[in-house]
Amino acid sequence: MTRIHDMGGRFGDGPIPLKKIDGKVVDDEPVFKTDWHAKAFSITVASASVGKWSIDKGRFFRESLPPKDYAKFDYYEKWSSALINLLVERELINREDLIDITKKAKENNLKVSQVTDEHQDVLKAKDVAITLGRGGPSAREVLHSPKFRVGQEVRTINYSPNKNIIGGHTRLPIYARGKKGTVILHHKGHVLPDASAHDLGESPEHLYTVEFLSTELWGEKDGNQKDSICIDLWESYLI
Amino acid sequence: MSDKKNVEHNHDKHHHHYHSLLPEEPELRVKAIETLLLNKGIINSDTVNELIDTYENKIGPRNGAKVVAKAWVDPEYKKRLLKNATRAIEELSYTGRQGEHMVVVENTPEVHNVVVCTLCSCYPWPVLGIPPTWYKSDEYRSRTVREPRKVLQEFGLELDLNTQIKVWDSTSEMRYLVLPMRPVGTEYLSENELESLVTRNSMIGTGLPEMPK
Repeated sequence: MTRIHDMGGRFGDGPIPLKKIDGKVVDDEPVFKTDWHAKAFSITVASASVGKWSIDKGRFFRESLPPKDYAKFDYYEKWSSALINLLVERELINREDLIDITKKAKENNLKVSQVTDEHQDVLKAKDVAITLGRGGPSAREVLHSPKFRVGQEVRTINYSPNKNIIGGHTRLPIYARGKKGTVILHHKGHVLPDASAHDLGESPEHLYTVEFLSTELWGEKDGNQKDSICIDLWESYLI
Repeated sequence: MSDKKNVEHNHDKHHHHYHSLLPEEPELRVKAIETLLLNKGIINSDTVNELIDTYENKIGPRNGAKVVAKAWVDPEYKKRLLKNATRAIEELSYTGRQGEHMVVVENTPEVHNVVVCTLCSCYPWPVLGIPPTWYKSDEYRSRTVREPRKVLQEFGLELDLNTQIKVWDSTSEMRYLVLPMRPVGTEYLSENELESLVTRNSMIGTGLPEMPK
């Protein structure tokens, strides 16, 4: 089973959508192309203070959008749609709220009322800089010693590594399953997305960067002899 | 259906389709969500504006350009940057969200690095800001790991066949910044002048720094 977001190595996508003038790339895109992009971004970031989902859960909800929606949605449509699904799952809003607000939206009757009881965890404007500056580090102490060392040859497992959930979140891309590579960096312990995405705790594991030859991933004919792909992989993804 | 796995399976069906109850038109959809969340006290309108202002005006690729220019003129800083990028970047006060764990990869005549996120759109926000549309596109995500040379050609970058391309697929919370090679003939330039040559694409690996005029 696969999910639509796992698209590394897929054929058929066409040229990179770049702005070019006289054949030269021009990099002058505004940070947010439209007001609603800016809003979709900022309401998602702000809501996480109350919803308290992990970054992994946020990603899982985006990649779990129905494939037809995922394929046709603009980037920020994915964000705003996944946000709604997260808020329902967290029971911060419900189906009736959505039906009601949609009715008002269609009647051109969206009104912001005076809020007297903000949620206790709401992100305040004065705390934005410090909250962003702090971020959410994923490094964690892991008590056991690493199973692999830098320079060691390893192989990735050839099935979805999520042990708990069928169709669950994982960060081992399909194109790198069952492949042989070499450990080039060891990042010590990090939260395991496969657990964190499903509210199953952090289950930190050693994290490594593994370098794969292009020919190992794509075959002798398809890969370039010189080139390589470096992928961050958790210990349980490797044998 | 008492089995835990089946329960989770159902979960999947139930919790990922609520968005279809909202207006289809994206601008109206976002307006509806914003109004609902403001009225529920889940978000605050000053915060919404503050977040937009932060990424439109305060956090962006000029931060990364400062890191690169400093590494070009200060060999000791460059050593620290390649050894522990998170800490070296923090010296310039760039920290936090989507840059908690930084790795800087150095371009050399032998190796050219390029960064992608095939599974979503991971990108080092504190030094590069919010990623451009092309970085988040299916085209860039699907093709860069398989045919990096063709992708780079579309950016106008023709690399020697003897140069190794290393593609970094950002699958974890490690965030990658490319340290491009300092352009030749820039020995006389100040750190500030060098900084203006550092383009966003040169720090992703899809471009090179500009040449001095």
